[in-house]
Amino acid sequence: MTTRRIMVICEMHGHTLLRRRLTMLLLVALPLALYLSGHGYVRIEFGGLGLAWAIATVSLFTLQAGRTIDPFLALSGYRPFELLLGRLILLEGVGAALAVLFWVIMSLGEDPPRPATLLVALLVTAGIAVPMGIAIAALVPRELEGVLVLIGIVAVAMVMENNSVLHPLYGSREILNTAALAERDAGIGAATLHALGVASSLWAVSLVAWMTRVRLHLRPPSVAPKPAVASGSPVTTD
Amino acid sequence: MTILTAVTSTAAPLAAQGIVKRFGDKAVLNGIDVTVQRGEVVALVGENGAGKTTMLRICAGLLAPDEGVVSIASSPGFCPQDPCLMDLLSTEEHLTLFGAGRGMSRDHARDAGLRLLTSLGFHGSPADLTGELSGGSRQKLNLTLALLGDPEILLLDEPYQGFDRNSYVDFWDLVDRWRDAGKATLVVTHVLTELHRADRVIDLPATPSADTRVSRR
Repeated sequence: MTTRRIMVICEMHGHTLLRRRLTMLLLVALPLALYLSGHGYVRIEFGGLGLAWAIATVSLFTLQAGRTIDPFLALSGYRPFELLLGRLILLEGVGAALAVLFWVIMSLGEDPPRPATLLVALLVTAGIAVPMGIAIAALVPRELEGVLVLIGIVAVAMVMENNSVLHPLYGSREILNTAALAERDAGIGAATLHALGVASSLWAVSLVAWMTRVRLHLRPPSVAPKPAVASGSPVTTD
Repeated sequence: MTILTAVTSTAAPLAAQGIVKRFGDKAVLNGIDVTVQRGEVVALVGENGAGKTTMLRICAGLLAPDEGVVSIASSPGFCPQDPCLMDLLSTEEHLTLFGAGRGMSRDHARDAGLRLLTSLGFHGSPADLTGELSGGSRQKLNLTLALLGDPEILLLDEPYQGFDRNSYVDFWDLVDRWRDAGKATLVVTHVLTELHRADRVIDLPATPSADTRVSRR
């Protein structure tokens, strides 16, 4: 039953996303605009960060949209992790499809020295972006604040000259630059581990936050409940 | 007028005792007790701001009380005051979504949901997106989603808002059928003309105190 409920959540959010045609268009247009605005090897990094930005934003709004309906879905029998996992599967799928699309675009446009590494870089970037958007949505109360936090994270990555391990997109940037620059060491093990660590941490945070948020405060009845009306309360009969 | 100190002696499907809820410094509910037996319809009334919706949400487990205990026998069907729907999903997809939560197959949820919608006078195609439905039709779907899976306990927050006259009458006929079927129904209402259709009325005090006026039909 859990699997079916997860897949129904995935399917329904898939319908919702596909019916937002402008959103689907912008999902491609935003990373493409950032990619085209860069010069030289930076183009790939900008395109990758644009991809992270677009996917994280869609993830943020997908979860925020569930804030009102999720408690009622939980009442109807869904568990909080099922609600979260259904969206994760959908968004990671969308992210992977976009990563492949941009890998084709960048491979044709830039002739990167390490095309296989570029594919890994884009998949890792999309993979982190989903839990990043979801974690922000789970932790920040409203959409506007969430979007501002997200803009801050991506903007810092774009203007920061030296990559920092403290930044959640550190691993993505490292692998993107390794794919784009032939003179860099080809190893991406440490960067991939960093990305996996960040993604796992963001997932753990999201799960705890969402389970707390849509938790039901119910308990089964005792065999003999106390009087329905507290002693001394006035009760009138017609 | 008779002063009673006890209403129930057997296990009730829904029993909320000594419920206190504050929002900031403001106490909305102060020591409220609500019990609903099987086959009983209880109306929850009170002025605006008396805490009717808050009490219902606490009974459903959607909100935690600051003090007091809610005991509930099974997962209730809950109909919120404002329809909680996804505008880009169709009526049929909502039935699938909520039906899956209740363990219903796609076909079962669709058939049962469409039967309920028909009984409420829903006019529309199952394929219509809910964002394009009228307010009354949205509310009928909202109520149907609460009833899907035939829950034993129903918590309804002014579920007939936007209903036309015929649908409103149909709703109270449905309430009678739920009573006959042994369901425990708690309905928030401010339409006082239909209070005689309830077995008991709980009038929440406008200003928080321990006083709760209860009248029997």
